[in-house]
Amino acid sequence: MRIRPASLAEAYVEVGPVRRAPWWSPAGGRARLRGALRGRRLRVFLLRWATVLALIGVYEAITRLFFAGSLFLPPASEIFTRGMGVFVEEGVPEALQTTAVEYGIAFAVATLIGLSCGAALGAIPGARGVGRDLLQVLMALPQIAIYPIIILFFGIGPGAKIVFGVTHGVFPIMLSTMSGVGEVEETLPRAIRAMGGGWVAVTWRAVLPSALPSVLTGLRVGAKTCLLGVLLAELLSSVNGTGALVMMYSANGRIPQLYALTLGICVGAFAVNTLMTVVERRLTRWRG
Amino acid sequence: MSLFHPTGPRVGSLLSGSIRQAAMTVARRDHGTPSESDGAPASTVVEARTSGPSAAPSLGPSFRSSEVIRVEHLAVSYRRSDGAEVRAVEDVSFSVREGEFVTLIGPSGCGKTSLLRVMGGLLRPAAGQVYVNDVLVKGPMPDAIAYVFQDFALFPWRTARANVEIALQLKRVPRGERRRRALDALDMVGLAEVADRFPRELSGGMQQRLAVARALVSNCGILLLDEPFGALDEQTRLVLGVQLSQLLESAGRTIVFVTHSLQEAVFLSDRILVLSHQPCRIKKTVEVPLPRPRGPDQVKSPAGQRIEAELFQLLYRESLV
Ligand SMILES: Nc1ncnc2c1ncn2[C@@H]1O[C@H](COP(=O)(O)OP(=O)(O)OP(=O)(O)O)[C@@H](O)[C@H]1O
Ligand SMILES: [Mg+2]
Repeated sequence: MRIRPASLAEAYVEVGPVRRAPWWSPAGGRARLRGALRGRRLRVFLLRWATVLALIGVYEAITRLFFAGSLFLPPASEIFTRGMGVFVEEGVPEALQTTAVEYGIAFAVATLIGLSCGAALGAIPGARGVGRDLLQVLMALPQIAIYPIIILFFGIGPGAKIVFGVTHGVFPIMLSTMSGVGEVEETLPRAIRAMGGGWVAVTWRAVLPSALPSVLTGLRVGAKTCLLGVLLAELLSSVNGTGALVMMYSANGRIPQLYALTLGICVGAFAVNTLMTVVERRLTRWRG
Repeated sequence: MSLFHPTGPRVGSLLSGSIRQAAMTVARRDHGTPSESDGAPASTVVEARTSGPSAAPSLGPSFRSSEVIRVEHLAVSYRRSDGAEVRAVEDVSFSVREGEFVTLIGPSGCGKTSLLRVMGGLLRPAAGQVYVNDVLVKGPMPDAIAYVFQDFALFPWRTARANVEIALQLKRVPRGERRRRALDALDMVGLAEVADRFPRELSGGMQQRLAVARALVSNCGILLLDEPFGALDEQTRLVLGVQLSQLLESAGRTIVFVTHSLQEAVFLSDRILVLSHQPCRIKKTVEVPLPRPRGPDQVKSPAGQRIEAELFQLLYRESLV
């Protein structure tokens, strides 16, 4: 029987690396919670929500003191008590779902096009400069101008909304993928080739991981602009979806409901952004 | 059980012990052409070699003198961004015998890295050719050649261990074996404790040693090392260099080494190729007939000092041009 490993490497092989329990396991969850309650992050967390609550309080006070009885500026308490009922009104859950599905499709399409075209443009040295100029011009244009043309082609319905969402989401994704892939140093692909890797290994193990941080940033921005596109289309001319609903409540003067709905959209956008940020942080933890 | 020195005792960390201790344990390297003046009769060399369990008895002197690398009339050009063509290397020919330690030395920017890249199949020469084990080099030969890059080429998203493992991963070595060999290689360069750290969490010297570990792990017969210890202090680089040559000694590996340190060159090499600047040619070949094992005594001996002084003269004149 061996009592002491002959070397550190052997000890390591026997015991394995020290790993923290994953966050979803009970032990890991408890450890994280304990750490969170102790650390700086809790203070940040509390401060953040205290600020939100304080702002709501300020808003409540201002509306009650200076805009009492105003039709267009309901106090926060009223938005929460009367307005929140809107989410169970007939047609509202369906509208939210419609928007969510169309947004999902639009973002998926934008991602697909943006990643593939961006990677292709980035990989071809000559295309990079041209691609960048072109994309920057396209991104600078007010896309709302082409909306009538989109409607001409796709009619008023889900098609136009998705296409409009795609036109908003695709360019940030394409641009950042292009620069991410284009800025990969020669060093790592060369090392892969020296160790016997072909172009698949070069792409998969050197180029994509190098480009990942940039790509993820593009996806986060694209997720936001894509949602903007879908909502814009709904606000402008749609007969169903959350945007159309918002316009309807506005026109009918159901103000607390309008505010609640708007708040709901913001929460949804915030959730998407948070999700993207978390994914981004998790996948690029090696950067520290 | 370590894979890298099957015949010798475990070396342990490359950073443990003094230069002298390290040097004292260096096994005898086969010179191929032992000099009469170094006091070691050629027969002892052969004996030492063949009595080791790693050397097959059937391998005679003809095997040992065989050329593993043959560089013939090699030229390398680069196209500058303004379209002009620059000759970096011009008509370089030399060969490296099995188990030989050859060092390339020359002023910065003279073309050492370019030469090494062509030998590794990573760069197409403008003229001439390289043969490795009598096979024309047309592309990378990962089973024969391991490479340490001047700029380390570490993957920032991989831990130290994963950085070593990738060499095996690309050769489809199964996971368990991969892991074990990677840890062994890390242990060898004194990095076992930091196996789970990312490169950015390592010092410059540690990163360099990590790159060396990655080259060691694949057990190639030939190592092309581009300033592998450049970021280290003089003592550490000598200890590491000696232990490296010892590790490779037992496996009979062939090494082409680039360095800017004259002392390191004298300490480690069997032969030193002094290169000229722009375009790079072989200016002089300097044999290092110092006996092994080498320690500070040999390098500081009159013979060692004479070689170092000669190298200095050659390079000093080259740098003035
Ligand atoms: N990709 C490239 N494009 C154009 N010129 C290059 C390129 N790579 C190297 N060169 C030129 O070729 C010459 C040799 O470069 P190389 O990297 O081989 O030098 P080196 O001897 O390794 O230098 P150092 O000791 O500084 O590492 C240099 O003059 C350099 O300017
Ligand atoms: Mg170099």
